[in-house]
Amino acid sequence: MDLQNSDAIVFMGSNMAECHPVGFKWPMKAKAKGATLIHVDPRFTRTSAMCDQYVPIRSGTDIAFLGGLVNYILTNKKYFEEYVLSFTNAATLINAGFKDTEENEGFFSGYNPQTRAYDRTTWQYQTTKAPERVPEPPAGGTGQQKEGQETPNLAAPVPGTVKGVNFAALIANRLPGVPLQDKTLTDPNTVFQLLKKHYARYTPEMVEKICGTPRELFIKVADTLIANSGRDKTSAFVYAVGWTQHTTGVQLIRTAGLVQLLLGNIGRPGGGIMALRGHASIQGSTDIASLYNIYPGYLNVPDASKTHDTLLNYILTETQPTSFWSNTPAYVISQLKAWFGDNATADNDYFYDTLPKLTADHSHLPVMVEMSQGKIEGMILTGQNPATSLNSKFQRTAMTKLKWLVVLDFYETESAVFWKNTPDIAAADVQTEVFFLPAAHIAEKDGSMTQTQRTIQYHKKASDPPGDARSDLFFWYDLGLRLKKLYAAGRPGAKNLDGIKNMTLDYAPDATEVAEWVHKDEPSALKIFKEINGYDYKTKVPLNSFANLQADGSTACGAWIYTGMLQNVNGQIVNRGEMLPGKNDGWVSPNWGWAWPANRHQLYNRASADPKGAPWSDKKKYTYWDAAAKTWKNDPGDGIDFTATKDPSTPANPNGIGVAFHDGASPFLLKKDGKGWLFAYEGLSDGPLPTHYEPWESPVKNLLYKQDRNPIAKFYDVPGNKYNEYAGSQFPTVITTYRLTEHHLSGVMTRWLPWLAELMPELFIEISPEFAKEKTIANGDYVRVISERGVTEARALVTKRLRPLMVNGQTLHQVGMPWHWGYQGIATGDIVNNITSFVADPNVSIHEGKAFTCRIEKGRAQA
Amino acid sequence: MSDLRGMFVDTSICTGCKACQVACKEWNEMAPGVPLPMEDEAAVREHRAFTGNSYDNTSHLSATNWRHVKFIEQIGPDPRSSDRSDPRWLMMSDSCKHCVQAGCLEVCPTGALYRTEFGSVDIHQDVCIGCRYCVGACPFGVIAFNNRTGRVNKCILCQDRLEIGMGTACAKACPTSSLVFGTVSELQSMASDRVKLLHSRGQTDAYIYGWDLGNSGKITAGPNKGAAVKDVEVVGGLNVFYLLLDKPEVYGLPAHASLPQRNFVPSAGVALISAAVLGVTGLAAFRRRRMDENAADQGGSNAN
Amino acid sequence: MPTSYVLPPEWEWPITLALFIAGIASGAYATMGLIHFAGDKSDQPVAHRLAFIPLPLMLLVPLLLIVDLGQPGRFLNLLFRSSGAVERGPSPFMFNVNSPMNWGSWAMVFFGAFAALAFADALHHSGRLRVAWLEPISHNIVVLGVGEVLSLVVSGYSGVLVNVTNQGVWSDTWLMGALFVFFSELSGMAVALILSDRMKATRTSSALRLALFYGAAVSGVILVVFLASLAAQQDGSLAALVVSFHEFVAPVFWIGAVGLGLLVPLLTLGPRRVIPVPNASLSVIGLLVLVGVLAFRYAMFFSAISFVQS
Repeated sequence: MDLQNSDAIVFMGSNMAECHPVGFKWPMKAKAKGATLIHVDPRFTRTSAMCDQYVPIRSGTDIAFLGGLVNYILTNKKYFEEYVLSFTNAATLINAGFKDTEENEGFFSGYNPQTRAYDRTTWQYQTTKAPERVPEPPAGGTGQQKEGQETPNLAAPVPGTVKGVNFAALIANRLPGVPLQDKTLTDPNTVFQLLKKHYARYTPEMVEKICGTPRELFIKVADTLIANSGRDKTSAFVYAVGWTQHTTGVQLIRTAGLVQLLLGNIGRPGGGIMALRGHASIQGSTDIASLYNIYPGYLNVPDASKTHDTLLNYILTETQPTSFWSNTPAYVISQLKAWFGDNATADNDYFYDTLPKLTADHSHLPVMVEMSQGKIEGMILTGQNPATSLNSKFQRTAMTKLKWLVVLDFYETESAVFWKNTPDIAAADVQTEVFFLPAAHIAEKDGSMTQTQRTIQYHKKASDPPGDARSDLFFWYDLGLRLKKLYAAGRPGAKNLDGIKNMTLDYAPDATEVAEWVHKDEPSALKIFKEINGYDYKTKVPLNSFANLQADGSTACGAWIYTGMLQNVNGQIVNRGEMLPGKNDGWVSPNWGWAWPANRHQLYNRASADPKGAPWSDKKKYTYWDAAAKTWKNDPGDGIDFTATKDPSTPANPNGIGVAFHDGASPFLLKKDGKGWLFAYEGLSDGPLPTHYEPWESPVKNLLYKQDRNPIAKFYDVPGNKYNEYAGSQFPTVITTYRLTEHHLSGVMTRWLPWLAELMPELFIEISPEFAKEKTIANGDYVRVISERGVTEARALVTKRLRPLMVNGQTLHQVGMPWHWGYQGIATGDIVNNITSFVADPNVSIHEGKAFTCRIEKGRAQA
Repeated sequence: MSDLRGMFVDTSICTGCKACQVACKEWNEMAPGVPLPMEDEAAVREHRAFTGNSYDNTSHLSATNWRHVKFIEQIGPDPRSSDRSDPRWLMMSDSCKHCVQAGCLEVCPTGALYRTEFGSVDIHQDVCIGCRYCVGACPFGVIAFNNRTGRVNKCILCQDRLEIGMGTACAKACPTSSLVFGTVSELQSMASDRVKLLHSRGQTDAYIYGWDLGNSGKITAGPNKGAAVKDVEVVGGLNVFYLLLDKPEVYGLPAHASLPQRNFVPSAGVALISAAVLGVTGLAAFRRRRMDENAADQGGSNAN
Repeated sequence: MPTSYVLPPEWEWPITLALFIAGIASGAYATMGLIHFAGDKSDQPVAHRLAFIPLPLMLLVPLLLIVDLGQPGRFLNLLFRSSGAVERGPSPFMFNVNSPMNWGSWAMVFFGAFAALAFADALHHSGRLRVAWLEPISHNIVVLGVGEVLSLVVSGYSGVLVNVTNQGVWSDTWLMGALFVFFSELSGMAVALILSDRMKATRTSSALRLALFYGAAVSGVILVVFLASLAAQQDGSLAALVVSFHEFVAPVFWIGAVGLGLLVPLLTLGPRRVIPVPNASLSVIGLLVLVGVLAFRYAMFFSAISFVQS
């Protein structure tokens, strides 16, 4: 919604009008108010059609483009100086031993070719000497919040003990030194100088050579952004999986972060970098942990390779003493209490020991690789369709190695029938036992969604699902109950059963909740909602704020970031996920659903005021310091994402715990120094500064460095996953994949619906007329698209919306394919993922589906 | 006439999402007990094929498509050259215009087509005999024959919704408010403001198709770049009218639509005159026979 | 490239045939009237025989309409106001003054009565039915005149009807009504010629062949004006009729309508015959003209479809 306040919006890695058509009303509102909209994309899409500027780019070269913006801003001295000096780590000094990619042929210092990993020692801040450690710190016990207090106390970690050890004291005892800064930004070790050096060669000419973007269009984008940033104006970036699905995906988004920090566009109305999430609740599914390595609320899953052996060590490893994450112990212990209930106490580490520990990357791709090697016995699929997913033949074949497979879905998906309906698999050879369980649709169950603005909306069941279909909740709840029953009396040889035995699972519905429905044993979504929200363990009353969470087992909470979506108002429980009726509450709409955390819609919004707390300008006034009232205020009603009464002139406190460590001008309270990180000395495995590497499969060499690919990208050298050769190969064409408005993902929610199927009935490939002429392909012809992994067949849609690019003086063709089709449903078609591969970003294991190579041939795949 | 209801279709903010098309089908043809439109074999055959015409796989309005989003690619001034300057992709959600003077209504011989209390044109399905005269009479190719029911169908401006005080389903579904439902007079002033705003921003392409609200401009991109455009009133005004960014023909709309009735009196008159001429020639034939016979008689007597 | 903004009306074979047959019926009646007006006693047998023709054909027309509309009874809504059509007022009859189809419907009903009268008269003259009081009515000049006018309406209304649309070819001129009148009468005269030939009424035949010749000549003139008007439209409507192979419109038009319908009578029936044919083959020529008229109907109806499809 905040996009309506932007003066310029750059859509890049996103086709918002097509893939997020409802949210696109907000950019259109901005446009109606006079904002400039820019679309940077390999294809001219329905989003481009709505924009003032369309800027073509070669798929997978976004870091070069955005790095070019960084360089343009720095060399022309167009950065927002006051913002950059106070709110970012530009002035901070980095270890003198740091070596940039410029000096190291595309590598940063610390690279180990054997392990293909970086040692980050030389990336660290220069700091003052850390405070002396007190041998035996005094026990805590004060500073606890009172019930109902709105504003969380961010000053100190909540004290507590596990097995008699006071971890709060130990955390306080681990305070680091204060980072050193050079406010003149001239020291060669300042982040600012390192940044300048790193991007010096990312000139408009270089951008044109690498990206194929005409330099005048690039400069126009840069000038538009600069003209629409500063005190009076703000610009926003909007991205989606067009940025994430790369071997450099995380760094790519970070580059936009650099641009926005330099222009002062973070934490301000109309600014920011908007991540558009795909599903209605894909945001919710990361918040509430569908990722293998994150527990609800972004708490790390215990990992065997870290010091996570005991709860105490887990807490000490995970708790950051100098950021908001200093509160981690309360979140962790409340979560364990929610899961394991009465018997979970400080004396038994709240059953922490029963949690499985990670031993490796267990994300989608490596799991499928292991499956292909016969290492995995069974799989449960809910809302996932691997038979049409990346390198889909590989995944389909891998599934044949399973003993059993459970598929929960609305329709008989490709994955449910991979054993009989797949052309490349003989049904007789498949031993996998497949169970298909029909699933209820969203309108057929209670629950909540968390959308792309982190807004939670609760919805109620509208009708019973048809036939045997059941909600996902029912499946997992029932499975949990059965497991508990199975292990109740213990099992011979089974260890560590306390976890399963003590699982709370108190979700049996009240009679009133199921009175009007056929199924009386559907679990109560509201009770799960309440557990996620958190409650006082003794009174079972929901908690209003995560500030109420305790590290002593007196509170239980499934996901701390969601605390407050149920509110206890004078003894009445209000579900903030439901819209409060009859309130026209302005553009922030604090009563329309509820945004985590603590109904703060705009994160880091303290940055909307200058270091002294005054609004940067009247036009962009948002959160500001009311000196008379000695408090931060936000007139549109947004939550203050800062310590509410912390005076902007508060100096940094080298002995402060948590955000008390930061001064009053440090808006980025999740960061250890409270600053926006231009230079990320930790958190990323592939470098502190984003660097242009070519996609894993690319027909051109890296023009900036000797190193072509991201040196630590995750690749899988296994049979069936061969990569296309490099430049000059038989795979000269760049291909990107994408979605259409008319279909969703692999089409399970759309290709079965006649109204949608008819709108986009067949798989097609978009080809420029120039390339089509070269290949003698006419509009509507069948075309084979080939990679080392396989072939896919599509109808040619010859359109000038695609264009050949001049890349380093040579004509390069790009094609694009929407990937919604499969062999099931009403509208069927070939599977685009037949030709994609397993290769991923090193930080988050996201695959590279947005930029790879192929060869195009006229004619059908099978004669 | 403040009760007149209609829609303003601002094509300048249409994102081509087709939500209106889907909403239309769901509202109008998904009532319980009514077969899915897709169960109509002809409709399935007609609409389930890839056309290769941009993102338009619907092709035209029909008995099962009361709304149709058109896609017009104008990537550069000439579709055949590789010049891609000033690229545009025009989109337009088309439907029945509910003409103030409606050709279909004028020619309907059964009274099945009628003017509603909202000024829209609705069809009594139980009266329609499927003669298809209206199909040929509509200047926009809107109303169409339904092979399944043997009657005609078109957008009826969600008459059932209007009767209970709601707006149209398509406008409700439109995410960018490109389709707005309201009273025609309100929509006219909204449209006029919108054109003026666009012109003030230098987007001089915009003008109104349906009513003459006095705007005129020039096309800034595409093959018609530089051509003048101005508001045009069509067949006495369209209750569902459009803001367009290029000549009407580009959107498949006639620049000068007219009522079929324009031909009635002249055509009937010419037919009457010709009938008279024919009568004269008939009489002439018999007269000629008599003359020939007389000539033959005389010739015969001469010969005698 | 023609630009079409309209949908084809899908009036195809049943409608083409229905209007062809209605054209013969009305044409035959008109020719009968012509003989009564202009002929003499020797022509009467042919006129009396011709009177058999309109009624059965007019009964065939509703059958074809039922085939086209799918359900018997539907076409009654053309005449009687359906209770659902409340907006058309309280009258039990349906008449939309703006709709040529309504004019035509009523004209056919009334013409049907006159056709029945003619049929009874023919029965009377053939001796199969003796109704003495009939002759003064059926041969009454006023009665014949009104019947004649109604037959002309039936001949021409379908042309006016297609004029009153927005279809390519159909609505581009004001001449469709006239053309339909001409071709209806040509078909009626052709039927009369065949009858007179079969009845060996040579005197009547010689008048009818001249009438057919003149009719074809005037029709040819109007057709040329019509084609020239289409050409002036410059929207491709001329091409849709004269060069389109869609549904074989152009070949049917040239060979059937122009060749058989016009050139055959023009070349064989005039006072100075270009192609000398024996008198015995007049029936064949009449048949060819009938085929030509059918071809004309076909080409006209399908040209709108070919216009939209091209």
